[in-house]
This record gives sequence, structure tokens and C-alpha cells, in this order.
Amino acid sequence: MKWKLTEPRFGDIVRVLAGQFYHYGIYASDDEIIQFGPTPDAEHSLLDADIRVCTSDVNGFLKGGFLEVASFSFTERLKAAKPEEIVARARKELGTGGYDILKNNCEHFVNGCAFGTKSSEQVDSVRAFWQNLPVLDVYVAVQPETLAEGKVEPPARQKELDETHNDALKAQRTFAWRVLCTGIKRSLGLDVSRIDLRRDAHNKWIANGCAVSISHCKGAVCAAVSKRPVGVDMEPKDDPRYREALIERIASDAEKQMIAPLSMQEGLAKLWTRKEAAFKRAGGERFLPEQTDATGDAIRTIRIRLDHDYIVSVAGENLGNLRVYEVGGTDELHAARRTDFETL
Amino acid sequence: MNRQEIFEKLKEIAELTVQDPAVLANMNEDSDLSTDLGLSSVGMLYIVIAIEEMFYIRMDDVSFGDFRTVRDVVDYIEKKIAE
Repeated sequence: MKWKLTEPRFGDIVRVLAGQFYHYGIYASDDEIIQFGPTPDAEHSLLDADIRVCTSDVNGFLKGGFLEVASFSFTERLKAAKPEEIVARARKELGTGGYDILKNNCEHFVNGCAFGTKSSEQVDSVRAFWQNLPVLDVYVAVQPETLAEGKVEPPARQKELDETHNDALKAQRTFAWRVLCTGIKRSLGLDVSRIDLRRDAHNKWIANGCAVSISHCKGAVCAAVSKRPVGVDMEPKDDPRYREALIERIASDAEKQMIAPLSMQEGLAKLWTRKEAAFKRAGGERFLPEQTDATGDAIRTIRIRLDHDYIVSVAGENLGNLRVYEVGGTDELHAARRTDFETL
Repeated sequence: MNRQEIFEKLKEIAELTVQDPAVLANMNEDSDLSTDLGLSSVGMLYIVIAIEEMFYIRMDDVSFGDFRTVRDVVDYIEKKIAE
């Protein structure tokens, strides 16, 4: 269906832009446009009960806007009723209510009159907008001293955790996984027990429609959730293990330049987390820091304040949409609040 | 998801649909959808679909006209998520 600024004819579908959306009607004459909208005595009402099929004249319909007239495609012309039938159907509905913005709005009404089937491109396109909205959420949490009892999903992950014999590492991995599950549920509405979360050939956790990455360090964990491949890594800002020599060993000239404005410890944390995040996003057999590029626009490094300062790097798409949530302790895994961060 | 999280997520949705920063800054649970947030009946389309898509619920047992304030919407989402 195309739209033209032409003179309407009897039985045409017409529309006018009302704010961000179009309002639709069936044109019978300049004095009779049949529309499914607020009745004249309830123009500003939000109540569906005040919305009925009613008539107005052209000026009442347009409210100062421009009238656009539908021009059917060849296929639509074959499906459309004759103008007399379209107007007859519309008139028959006069006074009818039952407005539902999603299933029975003004566009559903005119398409029902013209084609016998109610549909709304506006609803479809808005839904597509929200469904396709990029998701790049990172969940961070301080590691609690003790973890609540309970197994994680999927069983393959629980098995890996059971085989981790270092208690501190096991606690970090378990908590990071729980934070991840919270993030998957919150950001994508998916229940980990119902998605096929599994390791791929490169040992990377994957699931249909969901990309994840986790990281844990002394004191805190983080998990990234997206619809597109993602990698995340987190390190404390002031790790005493950081040494100048490490920079010489793993950094290219471009990478040295990238971290030059920062202190040695912060620079090294940035360098290391970017390399790890890039590797985790791409997947691979073995992490070779000296061969993993930490520069480039597909990685974003941030500083987050939890119990201490942490440096987190995220590799993925739509980094401008990055949102960070701080998750509560062991027993409050469902409480996540948006938190500020500073891009490094 | 607790009430505060629901409210914050609603605010994220509003960030994409309500243009006036001052309106967003003052948004709270008592905000009237129509008079405070300035949502028109047509503009509700964005919000309703956004709620369905972002909270993973179906608002098939209610009409958006049943909601007057942000609190009404938060109450409904909280109840729906708990089901």
C-alpha cells in the first residue's frame, strides 16, 4: 500500500499523521470520514471505552494535518472489496467499541473494512522495533562470603563446577554463573533451564538467540548478555601482580600507545581485560595475549565502583547501548539496579 | 524483579518514547500517564508493545486505558511477572 496526497474518492482508506503515528479512516465524503477513534466529546481520553467507530468531517479528522490517500498494489486491489462495500462495512460498525490498541485499533478497522482481515502495519513495525532493539547488558556483583545452597542449570555446567576442587575458584564460578542466569532472565526473558545453553567447539557457551560471557576475579564477578557474540572480562584496578614487564611481553606498539595516558596498573588492567574480552567474543582454542589485539572500536573498557574499583572490558556490537547493572548479594540475585560507569 | 527494577525498566522504555528530558527526570510512580507524561492514546502503542517485549509478558487481560498512573502499570507488571 502506498500513500499519496491526492483527492480522496468514495471508499478510499485515508490517514493523517497524529504525533508519531497515523490515524486511519474510511472516506465517504468531505462530511463523512468513518474512523475508529475517540468520540468528539472525549477527544483527549485514554480510555478505550471512549473510543468508538464514529464519523467526522474532513477538518475534524485532519485537525490541521495532511490527508493521505491509500493507493493499493495490484495484489491488494484483487483482495479489496468494492468502494460501496468498504463504506457499507464501515457504516455498519458505527457506534461499535472494543478498541484495543494492539489488536483492534483504527488501522485494524480500516483494513478490516477493505480486506475483511484486520491487520496493523504500525503494530507490527513497533513490535519489530522493540524485538530488534540491541541488547548489551553487563551484570556485576561483589562476591559474597558464603553462597546459598543450590545447583545451577544446565547440568553440564553443574558437573564442571562439581569437578572444580579449589573451593575459592568454585565459589567464584558458581556465583558468576548465577549472576549470568539472572542476567539472561532479566535482559532476554529466557529461563536458562529452558534454553539449550551448551559449549561449542571452541569451548564457548552458546545458546540460540542468546550470547553470553562471564568473568570472575578476586572479590567480584560479571556476566555479559547479548543477542550477538559478546566477550567480557573483569579485573581489579589495583592488582599487585601487575608488573611493567608484562606490558613489554604482551603489548604491541599501538597497545602501548593506547594505555600510555593511564597509570601502569590501570593501563595493564585495561590492556589485559580488552585482550581477554576480544578472545572470549571471538572464541578460539587457546588465549594467546600477545597475539590478541586489544585496540579497535569493538571493545569498550569501563571503570566500575563496587567494593573497590574494577576494570571491565566488553567486546561486542552496539557498545553504545551498553548498560551495567549491579546485582545484590547471594539472596538477592533478582535485585539488579542500573549503575553508573566511567569509560576508560 | 522487584518494584524498583520494574520502574527503572519502565523509565528506560520512556527514554525512547518520551522526548522531554524534564518529564523523564520528574517521572515517578505517581506520574499520570496522560497529564504528566503526555502520552496520547496513539502514543500508548509504543509503550504497550514495549512493555510486552521488554518484560516478556502478554497484556491480554487488560486494556491500557485501565491504567492511570505509572504505579498502576508497575502493579500490573509485578503481578503478571509473579504469575
